[in-house]
Amino acid sequence: MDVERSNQEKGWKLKDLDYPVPKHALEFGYCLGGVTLVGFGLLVITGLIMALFFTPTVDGARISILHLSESPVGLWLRSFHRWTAEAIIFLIILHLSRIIFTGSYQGKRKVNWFFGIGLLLIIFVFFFSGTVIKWDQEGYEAYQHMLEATEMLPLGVTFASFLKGTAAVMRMFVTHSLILPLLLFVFLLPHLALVKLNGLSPLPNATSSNSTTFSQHLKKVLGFSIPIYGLVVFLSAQFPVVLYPGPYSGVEMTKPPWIFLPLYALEDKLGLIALIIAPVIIVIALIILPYFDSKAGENSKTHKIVVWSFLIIVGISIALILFVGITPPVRHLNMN
Amino acid sequence: MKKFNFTVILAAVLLFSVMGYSHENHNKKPRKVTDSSIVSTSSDTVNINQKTSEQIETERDFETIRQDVERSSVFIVFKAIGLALAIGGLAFVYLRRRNGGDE
Repeated sequence: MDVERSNQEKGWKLKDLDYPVPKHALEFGYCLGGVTLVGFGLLVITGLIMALFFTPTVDGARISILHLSESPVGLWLRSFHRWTAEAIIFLIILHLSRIIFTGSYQGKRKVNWFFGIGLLLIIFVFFFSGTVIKWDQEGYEAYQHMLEATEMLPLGVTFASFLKGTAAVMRMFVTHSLILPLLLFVFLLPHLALVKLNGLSPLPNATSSNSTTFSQHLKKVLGFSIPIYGLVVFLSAQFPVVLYPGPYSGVEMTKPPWIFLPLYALEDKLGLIALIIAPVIIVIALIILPYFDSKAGENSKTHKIVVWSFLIIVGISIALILFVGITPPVRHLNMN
Repeated sequence: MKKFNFTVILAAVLLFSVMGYSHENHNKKPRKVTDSSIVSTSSDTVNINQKTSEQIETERDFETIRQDVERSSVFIVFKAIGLALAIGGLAFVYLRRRNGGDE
């Protein structure tokens, strides 16, 4: 009886989160992952509510969103979902940047870096599929790009034919609301577990001392999240997201969401194949990064090359986003 | 160094493999996508006797899309500059530390 009571008392307590972590866990750069996770929670909540009002069919998708948007609350909810998704893309890129700057992919953290790459890809597919399922002109053009790019892959024609037809929106909706969340969960759990197992990556050139607790880190994450998502609440009210008319086939009048604009610019020069090749090159580069720059904790020449290459790629990507952002849309597709 | 050479060669092969690709047939006419039209394979078969109201609706929709796309440019510029500044800020903080300037 005493043993049973003792086991019950051993149950999980908030105090269990008071394990020691380094002091730099309280810095913004080391809270970016947590702040992104808070955003995911908000996306799940708003996504679930919106799913109750969504009709995932070719004829019904856009109309159901229009109905939802007739109510100010519905319009705000949709805007908040989209702006939060944009914020997550922004935060995840900053998280990636911090990891590259501090060389946190080196040594024993290599495996976690691979899970992080998986999560990065899942987030981008999330963002893309969310664009498609609203089935307005922007969504339809994105869907057509996806189909035609898929057809260029081995077995792509078979897969693309599965995605075509009246079930197109339903299949993208299931991907967005069921398959991707499950995949995210599968990658996120080991990602978080490995952070706990390996400990927070050290600050370069600093003596590592565990002088704060994980619960303090969580409080800091919440502290950073409140103003960030508070700003998202304001942006959603002030600048409601657009739902384009249509969709119309045979025309290309919109541009993809801002983060995909570097790909759009490459597509201008290389054609649709750029939509396959550029992401593949980026993913390969990210996978080989811990092997190329493997000396943990050292300010090596190799790490300087990695950082400068990253900054140059970011610079070019930003320039391409700005260029495509201010120029009129270009037609790429052989649309049906 | 071998890994670096391998990466460069792989990147070059992937880039050069796209040279043969070209676009075709950009002369198709716009058509509203519905449950029935999405399964049709002959997308260019547009009924020449379409109702005038449909044409008007299409033109109005196109004008709305053009205006929305134009307006979105402002946000794209702000987002891109915001991202550049944020990454620049992180680089300033953490690269300085890595170089031992702040410790």
